[in-house]
Amino acid sequence: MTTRDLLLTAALVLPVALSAQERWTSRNGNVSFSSSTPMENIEAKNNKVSSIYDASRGEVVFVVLIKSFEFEKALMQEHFNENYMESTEFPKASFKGKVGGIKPGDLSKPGSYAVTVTGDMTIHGVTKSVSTSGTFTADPTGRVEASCDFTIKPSDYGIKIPGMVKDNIAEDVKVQVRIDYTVN
Amino acid sequence: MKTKSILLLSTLVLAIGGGSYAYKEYNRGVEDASREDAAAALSAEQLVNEFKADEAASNTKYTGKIVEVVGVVKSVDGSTLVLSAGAEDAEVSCSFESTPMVRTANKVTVKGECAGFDALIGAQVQLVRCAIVE
Repeated sequence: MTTRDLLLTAALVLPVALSAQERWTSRNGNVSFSSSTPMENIEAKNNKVSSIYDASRGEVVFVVLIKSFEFEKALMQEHFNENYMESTEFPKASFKGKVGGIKPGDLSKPGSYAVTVTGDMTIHGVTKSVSTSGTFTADPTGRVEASCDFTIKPSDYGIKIPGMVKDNIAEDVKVQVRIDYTVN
Repeated sequence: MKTKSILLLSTLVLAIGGGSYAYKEYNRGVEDASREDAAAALSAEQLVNEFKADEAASNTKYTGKIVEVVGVVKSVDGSTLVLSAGAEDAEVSCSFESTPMVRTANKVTVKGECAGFDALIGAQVQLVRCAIVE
């Protein structure tokens, strides 16, 4: 093999090998939220969240189907879907943004990486710019977990809470995101 | 006096009855769709293909409605059953209350409420409150 052949092979193989390491996906991520007031606590979880983290571009995307949030109480689930989220009209929430504080290739080394996430959140048909922080954790087996906690105000997304139940639903709803990514 | 006590008694009965109804209603658990009528019956592949072709129209047609879906079991993970829907990355993901008793590669019919379509990775229709029909 000549040097030229070697270089050519390297040029062909390397980008494939690198890009193969840079796209992380999940189809069963978890997003849960909780609202706590002196009147009552409301919790729901969704374990069908899909997400792509493209490390080479530093971009992350999430898609969440609203009706896939599961509640303990049927009435809460019905009110959430029918009255507040209007999930038949707006079935999806999504986020698309940039991840900062981490370099391509970092996740191939075990460790915990603090990141910033900035982008557009769409809920109930309303899009807002949001910014928060999170963590990527790569374990020695190559598993990567992303976690992120933040709060949202239903009123920012045009979600109307009737006066009668105003004391039962928090103004700031806590959201927890946990995604187990696999590389592909 | 008699009328008064009858009134008082009936008010009490109503209050207790109403109160216990409200309490029961408030604590009512989420039920699966087995006792509800299905608005449509089709194969997993058909359902995913309709969403792929026109998501908005399919949301109007299926999302929030009870559907009966026939398909081959691709996987069961905890309380989630996934049906194959033609293409390799096409599937119907069904949420149950507990682990459904089905075998991978078997053909099953699932009844559930359609939650919509997620096309970020492949093509996936999600169903909630699922029950095995057969």
